[in-house]
Amino acid sequence: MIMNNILKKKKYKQWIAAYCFLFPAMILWLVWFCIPAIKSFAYSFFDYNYSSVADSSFVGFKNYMNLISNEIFFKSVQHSFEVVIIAVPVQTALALLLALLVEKKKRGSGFFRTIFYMPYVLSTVAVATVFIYLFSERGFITKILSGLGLPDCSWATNVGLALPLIIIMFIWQQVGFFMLMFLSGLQNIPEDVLESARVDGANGWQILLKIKIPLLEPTMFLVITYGIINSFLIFDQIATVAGSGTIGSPGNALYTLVTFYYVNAYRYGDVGYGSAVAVVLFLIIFTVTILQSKFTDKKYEL
Amino acid sequence: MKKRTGRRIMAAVIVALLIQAVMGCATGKDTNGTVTVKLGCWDGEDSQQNFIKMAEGCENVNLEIMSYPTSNDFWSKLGSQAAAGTAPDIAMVANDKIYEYVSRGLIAEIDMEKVDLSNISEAALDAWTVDGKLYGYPMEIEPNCLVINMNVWKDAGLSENDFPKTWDDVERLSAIVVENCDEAYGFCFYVEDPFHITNLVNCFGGGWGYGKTIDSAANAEAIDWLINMFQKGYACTPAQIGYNWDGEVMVANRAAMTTGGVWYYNTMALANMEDQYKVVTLPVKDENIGTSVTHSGAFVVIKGTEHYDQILELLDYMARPEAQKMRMDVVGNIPSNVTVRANYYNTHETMKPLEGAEAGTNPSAYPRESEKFTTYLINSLTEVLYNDQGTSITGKEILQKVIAADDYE
Repeated sequence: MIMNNILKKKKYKQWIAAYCFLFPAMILWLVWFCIPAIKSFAYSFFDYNYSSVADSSFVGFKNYMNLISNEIFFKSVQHSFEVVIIAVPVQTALALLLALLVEKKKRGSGFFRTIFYMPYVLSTVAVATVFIYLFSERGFITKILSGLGLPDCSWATNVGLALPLIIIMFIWQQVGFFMLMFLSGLQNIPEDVLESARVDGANGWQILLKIKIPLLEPTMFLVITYGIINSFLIFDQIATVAGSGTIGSPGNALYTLVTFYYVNAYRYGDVGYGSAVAVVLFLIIFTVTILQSKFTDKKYEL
Repeated sequence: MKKRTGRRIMAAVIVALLIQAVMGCATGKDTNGTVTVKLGCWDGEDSQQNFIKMAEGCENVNLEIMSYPTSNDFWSKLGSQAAAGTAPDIAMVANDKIYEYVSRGLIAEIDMEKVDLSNISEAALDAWTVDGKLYGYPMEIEPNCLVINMNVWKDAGLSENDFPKTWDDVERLSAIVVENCDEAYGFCFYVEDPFHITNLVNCFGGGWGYGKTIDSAANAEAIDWLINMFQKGYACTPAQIGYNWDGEVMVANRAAMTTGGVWYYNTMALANMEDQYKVVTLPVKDENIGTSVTHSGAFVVIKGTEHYDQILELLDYMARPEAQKMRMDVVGNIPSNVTVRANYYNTHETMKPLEGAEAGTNPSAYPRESEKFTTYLINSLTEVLYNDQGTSITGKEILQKVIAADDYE
């Protein structure tokens, strides 16, 4: 009985300690995520403007109805999906390839791991500036690509090439981060499993396809999920390319859901309408992640 | 025991620091009774320091600069900053979108009874008046101009006698520049800044009419002229050739002409190109039709700011003749104070051709939702200008598309 009480008391103390440690993070999560998310959802039903809060009025689903009739909103949705559909498979494949290349602790592998990871920690403004320069009229890469039939023009100001420029820049920046995730996944594969395969006569290709990739499935799920979310949230690269000009230009080619949200909520001061876009964006990401989870038919914790 | 005491002292120190920080955020009033006024600013370092000097000596007011990367960043953040109580108190802005800022409740009225506007230009005051109320304390009012790069001009075999007077002249001379210069375009058009589009349509006798005349024949004609210039390869935008704005294009000798203003005085001086450019009044459609847009910079007071009366005192102080002269000398802008501006063209000879050109200019006259309107306008225009597949869309169709996109109310 006494022993039981001591154990209960100890458990209770551990429970208190756990919540004490969690408390600051929970407060931050509530203040910076939960409350804004709930408020944003509520604002989406209002004609709401920060500079005249007193004049806000309940408009029901009007903001959502206006979205449906807005051609640029659908363009934004289309561009967001284009970024996801192109960037996610390419960056996932590239990241896996790079991880496999630098997986083994050989001479110079540390150097290359750093080099590949570097773009992820570089400032987007710096990266965008260099990319705009490389892809400008008579720029280094533009000149090379013009040999392949592409026009020798500034990609950032070409209606057809502005989004591809953003996607290339985005992939280049993200791939190092996902390489690191794959690297950690590869290092968690038990050495004895690989050893057994080698003893059984499996070659490198077979080990990759039959052992490494199947065992990397949880990491793959994580990489794809993060990749989808990050791709839907693309903003910095577009804002930097716009500079002091108009976000979305040239010719609405660079409107994505986040830039459309930003322009409406902050440039036009229509917070209610912007919040409706944010809610739609949340629902899209949520649905895609759920579908992906169902598609892979396995449950992994993010 | 000692450990506990140490922890308690540490906790007390942290709490004291937090309280101090919160108190620091809560008030703009210093302990000695001086009020700190924050000026939202995206100008270069020279101009920022100039503002500080202009405010030096103002009793009980201390001016502090709040920097923003661009004016767009300032306006984008202002609403949420105002709601959070972290917005600057004043800002120096241009008059083109004043209609929107007033209707969105972002800027406060200037109480004309409390400031001395006796020497401020009437045209400048008009530029900042909406429905009979003044919303900015004008510091500058300037004419717009066509800037000509003399290096490119001479390379093309042209002389000062060839300076254009009409937009047909600009097209004809651009053709000569493109033909004779390998690297340069005839005309640079900064399409990402709506100010230039608005100037162009006004020069053709058009204007936005606060949303009522967006697709007028004159506006459509101006847009058609622009599309034609790009289709013929006579014109470029700064972004197309890798520059941020038309000033950089001119400094790099990549274009012969661009629409601009007196800010070129400083830009060219910084690039040591004072003698390599000329300005002329903006071309018109013909001698009877066309004018440019009124351009005026003013201090605006952000709505909801504390210390309104002290701010007005500060603005009066910063608009005194010595301060305006100081700004004129450093930044090169034309002061709003009529006693100071009289001397401007004597000390800024390059700008002499523009003397008196601000008379009879038009307001920008954007619709109420100016930001939305200009964004749609720029995107519709760039969709055509930046399309290498070629397009047959006309100016009228572009403007009708802009109208169809929103009611701008």
